[in-house]
Amino acid sequence: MKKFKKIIFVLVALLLLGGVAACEKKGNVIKVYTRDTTSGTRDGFFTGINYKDAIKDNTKLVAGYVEIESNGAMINGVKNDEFGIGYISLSSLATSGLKGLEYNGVKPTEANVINGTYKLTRNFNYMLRDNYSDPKVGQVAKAIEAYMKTVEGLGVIKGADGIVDTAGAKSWDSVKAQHPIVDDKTLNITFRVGGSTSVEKAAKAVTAAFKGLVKGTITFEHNHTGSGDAHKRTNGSEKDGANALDLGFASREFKAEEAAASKGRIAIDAIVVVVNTKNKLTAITAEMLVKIYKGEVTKWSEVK
Amino acid sequence: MGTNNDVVKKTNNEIISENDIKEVINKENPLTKKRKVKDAIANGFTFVSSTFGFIILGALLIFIFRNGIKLLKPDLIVSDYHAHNYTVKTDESEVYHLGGFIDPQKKDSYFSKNWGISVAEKKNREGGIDVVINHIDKHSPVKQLVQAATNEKDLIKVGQAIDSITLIDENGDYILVSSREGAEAIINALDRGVEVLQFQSSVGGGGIRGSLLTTLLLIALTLVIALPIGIISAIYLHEYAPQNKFTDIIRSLIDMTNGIPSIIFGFVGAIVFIPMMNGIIGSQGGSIASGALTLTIILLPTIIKTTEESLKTIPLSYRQASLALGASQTQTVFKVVLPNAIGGLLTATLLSIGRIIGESAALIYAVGTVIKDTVAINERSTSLAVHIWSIMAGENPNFELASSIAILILVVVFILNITVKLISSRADKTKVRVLKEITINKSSNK
Amino acid sequence: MQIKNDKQFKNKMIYDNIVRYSFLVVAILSASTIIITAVFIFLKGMSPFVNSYNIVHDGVQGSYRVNFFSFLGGTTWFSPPNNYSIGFIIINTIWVVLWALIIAAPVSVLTALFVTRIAPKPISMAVTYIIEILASIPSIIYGLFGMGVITRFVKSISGVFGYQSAGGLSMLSASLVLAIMIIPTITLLSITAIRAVRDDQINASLALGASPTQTNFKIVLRATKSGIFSGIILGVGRALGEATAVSMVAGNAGSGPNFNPFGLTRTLTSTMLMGIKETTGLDYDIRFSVGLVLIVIILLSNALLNFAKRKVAQ
Repeated sequence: MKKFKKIIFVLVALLLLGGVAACEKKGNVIKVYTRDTTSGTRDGFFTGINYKDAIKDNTKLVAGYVEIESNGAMINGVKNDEFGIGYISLSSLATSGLKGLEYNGVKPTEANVINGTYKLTRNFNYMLRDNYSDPKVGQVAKAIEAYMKTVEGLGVIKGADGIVDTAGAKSWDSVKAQHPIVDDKTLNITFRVGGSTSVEKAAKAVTAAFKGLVKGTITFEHNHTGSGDAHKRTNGSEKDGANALDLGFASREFKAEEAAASKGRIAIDAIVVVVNTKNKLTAITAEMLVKIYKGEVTKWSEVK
Repeated sequence: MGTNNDVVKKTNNEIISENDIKEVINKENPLTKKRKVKDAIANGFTFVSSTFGFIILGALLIFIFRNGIKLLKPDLIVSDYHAHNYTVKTDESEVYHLGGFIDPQKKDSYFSKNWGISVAEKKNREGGIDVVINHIDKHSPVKQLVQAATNEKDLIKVGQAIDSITLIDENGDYILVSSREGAEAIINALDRGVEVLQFQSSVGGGGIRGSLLTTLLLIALTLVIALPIGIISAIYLHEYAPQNKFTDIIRSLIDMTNGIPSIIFGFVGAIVFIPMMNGIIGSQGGSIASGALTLTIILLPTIIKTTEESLKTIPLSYRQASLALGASQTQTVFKVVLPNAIGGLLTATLLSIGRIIGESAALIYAVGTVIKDTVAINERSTSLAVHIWSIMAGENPNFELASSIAILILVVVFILNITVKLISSRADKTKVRVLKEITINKSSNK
Repeated sequence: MQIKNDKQFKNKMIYDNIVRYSFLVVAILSASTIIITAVFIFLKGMSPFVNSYNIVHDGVQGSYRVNFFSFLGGTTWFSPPNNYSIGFIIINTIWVVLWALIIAAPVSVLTALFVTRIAPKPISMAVTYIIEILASIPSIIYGLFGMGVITRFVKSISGVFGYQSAGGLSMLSASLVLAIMIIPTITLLSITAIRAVRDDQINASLALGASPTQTNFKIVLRATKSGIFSGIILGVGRALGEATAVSMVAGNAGSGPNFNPFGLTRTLTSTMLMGIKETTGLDYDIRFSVGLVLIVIILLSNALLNFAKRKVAQ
């Protein structure tokens, strides 16, 4: 019995000491937040700051990084961590409660994106299937594609936080005639949309508005799981699987191997580097970001 | 204190009450001060430990109720999760009279004098800002806006939230405005515009009707499958099975499922039941049916055990009397034993319902995490618990909505708990009464 | 009710036998669920090591398989295209559960003592009822409570002691949530065990001059060792298998092992649930392999603890 008590005592002591020894002292260590490897936002971020190796490979990041599954969760993470640094979509900056840093000397605003001075941007792109098993679904897809380029469509996308260029855009009425499927009263289909979580809000706004323009019935199913699935589930390895999509969105450019007949841009989005409001930092450069994410700079005191 | 153990072995079995002894000790061997202090500290520790449970339960309930009570209105339960959208525009063939409307001066609101509507900013269920219409003038041209698809008019009503508006101003330029820019910007844009290309509003959303229905369907379907299988298995094991190795093996196989975490059964659901249901009822991916089957294998051990326990409480004399009167074993089981075990069967049912409502990990794998408004047995959906998980693990973790659903779950679980307690205390009383009768009969027969 | 003739008797026997054998079939069905579970989990769990998966890596499509031995060892969860390892996750899981046990076991045993031997009846009934309520709360709600309250609590503690934490998502949060979930289990079993202690042992101790408290701590606890141990075994089993609540508070450490109480961690169960909405192919199948490892660990820990229990009971 005594032996047993001794064993327990030693075990508990080891546990407590081990735990205490492993703690990180406060105040200085930068906590790096990143999106997961399928994220288009991550792709845009690392491409923009010129650290392309880290887009798909977590081993290139500093130890102790926090991997986050979505834009909203990234906001929550950095909001709760005064030593954190992360990157989010510009459209969500206003309501996030975080501080957006100047990037290479330029403030992250919509105006600066439009005039071209803010460089950390990426495009919101869409992709249609090359083959639709139901021709009606294919016609609806083409109609949505056209709608997204009209003034009304762009208005909806803008309202859903995309930065749009309305130059040369026509109104829906002038384009509608080319898509008679919207006047088909017998239409009754399910239309599956997915892809990037950053574009999810715009995608849902588009489909919600589009519903009111068709005489038939379309049930939209949204399943946004990451930019990587936009091509995969429309024209790639999962195009006929359980999660196949009729319209995919990505928050990055499509790669050479992600080919499709119909694809294009619907909006521009900017990526903003964010820190907690308690952080004194106000500006950052691409080189410093690379150093932080690589692990060459690990303390806030070293960040100029 | 080693000697105590030796003495304990030698003590006889007389029934002395603890208090008698305590009295004797205190009179003849008063506790020393040092002893008293040590004792008080030790007792203090146990008291403090017991308060932990109290504190945790209190903190949990306070947290859930404080966050959830705001959204806990009837419309939460009956409304859809996905919002209703309206897309309307100016009807080219009609004349719209803009201007000349009187401001009703609503609090914190902005008024469009051209269109006769008043809006105010309001926090929505996801923590963002909605621009909500709170007044529409009787003659407002907004009522003449028509939905392109259906030619319906007068679709815009008080209570809807304006999402985005695309207008043309008097120079023919486009104006794009959305709720993101705030109520004042929307009103300014409205007043500058002469024609509405697209007015988009929405209402509702964030409701849990779909998930509530799913939970009820899951409970019904699972009970229909699991109860018969479990009860019949228990009856076989207790009433029919011979005492041999084979029966022992069956018993231990059923017992083995106890230590397995429910997520593993979720795996079985994903590997076995989803493809099975895809073939049988034509589902694509997860479905309520595959969820019900998964829950069945989780619940079987509990149902079997509870049923067996209640079968054990029925005295052998009941069965013997029935058989002696010429009834077959089957008749005995169904007409004599089962009716007396109703309490146990009810307990098994209620425990199962509680478990189904609380189960999350297994259903995430066996059914899926897509929140739906229309629910069908061969389609995937979320139960209330999975709905909470889906919200919290998704883009916009929303504590308020999750806590409201949690309140619902807690209330139901509490009620089930109390009911089970009442039933088992009733059953205990019956057991005591029956045992008393038997002992009285036995002693009177002596 | 007389048996009228042989025929009626025979019919009854046939009827009985039909019922008996059909019930037997149902019982066998119930018993076979565990076999189905074991077989299919094994098959699916081993498939990443045996079958090849088509993965696009650096623009090139290739056929990949996961190496079984590097899966079991290793300190990084994933590096493309096919390197998964859970070695550090196993260590993390044990670490988290040990901490949960250190917090939960003393609290449970002391509470059980309080309820059975020290408190007056009404308080005893009240505390028991509170414990029973805590035992019936679903784990998703504990997860919600963990995300909302426990993580904030851990974050402020880390601030007080001068340590850094990522918004409270940490090993300590996971252990605290697990501890809260297993305290009712261990307490209720300990209460049953303590109530079963023979009166004569207690009375003898008191008769020898021990105070009631001494009796409680030294005699009663010693006599209920195996009962309390059973409770601990059950608690450990539950803690190892708890998925939902842990995945909501543990964070998502990509590599490890993680011993820092205020730092992120990753357990076997949280790995199975993280990112479940978005995965397909190898990433989805590998979770079943993680589940297979979890089952093995639960069986091993059960066996180990049962062995220790037998030793302790001597």
